Amino acid sequence: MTEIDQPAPAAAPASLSPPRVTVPGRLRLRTQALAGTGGRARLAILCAWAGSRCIVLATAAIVQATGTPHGAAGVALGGRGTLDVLQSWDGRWYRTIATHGYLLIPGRQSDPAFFPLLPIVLRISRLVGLSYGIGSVVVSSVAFGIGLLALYELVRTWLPEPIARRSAVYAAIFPMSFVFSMMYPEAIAFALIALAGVFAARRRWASCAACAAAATLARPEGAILIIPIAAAAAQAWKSMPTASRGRAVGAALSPIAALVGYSGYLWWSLGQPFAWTKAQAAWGRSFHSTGIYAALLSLLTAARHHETWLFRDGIFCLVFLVCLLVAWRAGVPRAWIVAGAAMVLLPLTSGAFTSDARFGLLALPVYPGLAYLARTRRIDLGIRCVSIALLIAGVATIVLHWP
Amino acid sequence: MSIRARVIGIVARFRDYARSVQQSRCDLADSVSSENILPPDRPENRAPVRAVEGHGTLDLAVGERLRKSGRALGRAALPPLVGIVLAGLIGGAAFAAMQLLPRPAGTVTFVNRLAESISSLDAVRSIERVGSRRLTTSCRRITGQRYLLTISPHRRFVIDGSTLTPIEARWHRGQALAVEVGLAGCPSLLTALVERLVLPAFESSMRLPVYVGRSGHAHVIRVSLTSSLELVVDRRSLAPVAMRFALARLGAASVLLVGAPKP
Repeated sequence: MTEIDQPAPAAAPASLSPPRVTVPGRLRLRTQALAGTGGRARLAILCAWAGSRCIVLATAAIVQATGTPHGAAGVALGGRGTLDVLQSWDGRWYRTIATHGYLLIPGRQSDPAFFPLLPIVLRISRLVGLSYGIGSVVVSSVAFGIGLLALYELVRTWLPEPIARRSAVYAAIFPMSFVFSMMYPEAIAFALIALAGVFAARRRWASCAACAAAATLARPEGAILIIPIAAAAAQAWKSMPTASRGRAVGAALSPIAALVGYSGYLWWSLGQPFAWTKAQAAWGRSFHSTGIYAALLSLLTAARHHETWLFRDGIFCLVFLVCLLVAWRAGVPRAWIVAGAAMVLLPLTSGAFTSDARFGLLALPVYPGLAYLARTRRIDLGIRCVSIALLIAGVATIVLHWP
Repeated sequence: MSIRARVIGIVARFRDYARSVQQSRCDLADSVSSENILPPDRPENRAPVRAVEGHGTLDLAVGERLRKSGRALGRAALPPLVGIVLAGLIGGAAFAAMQLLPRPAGTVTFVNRLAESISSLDAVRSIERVGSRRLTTSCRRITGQRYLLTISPHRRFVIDGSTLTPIEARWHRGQALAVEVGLAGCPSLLTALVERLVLPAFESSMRLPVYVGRSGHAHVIRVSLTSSLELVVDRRSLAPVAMRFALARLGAASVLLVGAPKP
């Protein structure tokens, strides 16, 4: 077996240093980065992104055109659009919010359970002439590309550069990464979480606060960013001037501020500040102390209840947890590991594994964990081949079960 | 002693006295200028002066220390304050960004709130008045969406809340009136009726026919569920009061007896 990791270059300190770097130095760094390893790595990541998105879009178009697999539930195949498959399932809710706004239907599944950033982006994309369907695919795919580059920068602050590069490539071709091209806010949330992490590492707190707040408005998992941001602020506290400390506190509080802003809007709009928690409850998404036990029980009895798709979520949950453990051993900061574990495990407290394979995509330390495991060429190649095959299978089965 | 010598002696004593008086005046002036009106030549008066001077030094030190600790406190309190202000700005920006989303019409949100207030009721009975007849309806949930309506005398109907459509179709034929008005006795079924009104109005951005009015002494709101059926609710509590058929169709009303909200 051949070791493919090279010794870590000076990339990690370089990415940490910018707060006090003068403009010429920054320019020099940027030039060096573009010309050197960083530039090549970014190119490789962009190639992986473009390739994976082509695979997703092509498979979706084939599924849509051929109308296979049969027995599709919840998705109209052979419809008007080429990419209707990618706008299915929860896409309908985001489209409803963008078109009509929020409305809480008591005791029923309703749209305040879905956070507002994607509908806002869809409305903006409508203003520039894109339909909701095309706008969602374009915005999600572009955001995912930015997110991959940000993930690379973030992982470089934790681990050697080759692992950072592989992390981004694995994220691009991850089996469930087709969600990053669907009418779901995961791609935007992924990019914003990674950017918030990069800005926190570089002590650019105002930008970090904006990204963390926007991530929370995209997906509730964004609120968990409070853990790594607070940890980064605490680490840098003594060496920061007072003004920076204030901004750091603001960055740590920004996810809560975004939640308060969303609740305030629901209060103003519907008269119910916690409409989103009520709507989540109608989906069976409310925390229970025995939730994880109930989730495990539901997994054990899934075959008996003809819910075999739960095994997909269960397997991915296990993969996420193993990768988080490896990432922790590899040296990823503990705060990020805790945040990642919360993103994977908190949904289980509602008593089901449903959609955990999608929720775990936002646990960023999973990717460096996987990349750390693949330090030999053979494992690296194996992961790439299996991931691409599963990615195609994932897109082809969107019509059979929601992600 | 000659007279001359005596005069010289007297003049000399007078000079000494004048010098001493001048000296004491100067001291007094000094003491007054230093805001001390007590004569300085008394020991019992000198001590307090030193004490006052000592207190002044102490005050200065304490003040300096207080100022320093205040500055330190300010320095410690500034980051959280700045952080809270920044978070507030972010929350405000999030709120402002959401203004880009459309809002449902006010009447739609009102009727939606009404549906919620009805669904939270535990038990509701109704008394139907159809012409001179008076029927009492009670509602009991059997399982899930299935309800048992008992209408006096001794008539029972099982209604599936998820398939209300067949019953709705009969409204316009004027059949089984008791059952239809009796729906008002079932909170969940009544909620389903109200919701059927809300969703299409929400999706077509239309306003609903909601009217503010009075029923006897009570302030009520009338909500037209269909062209022939009207729900009357209390304006403050949104508790359902009555359901009425349009007079043109049939003079009938269902007076609702509202139960307690669910715990």
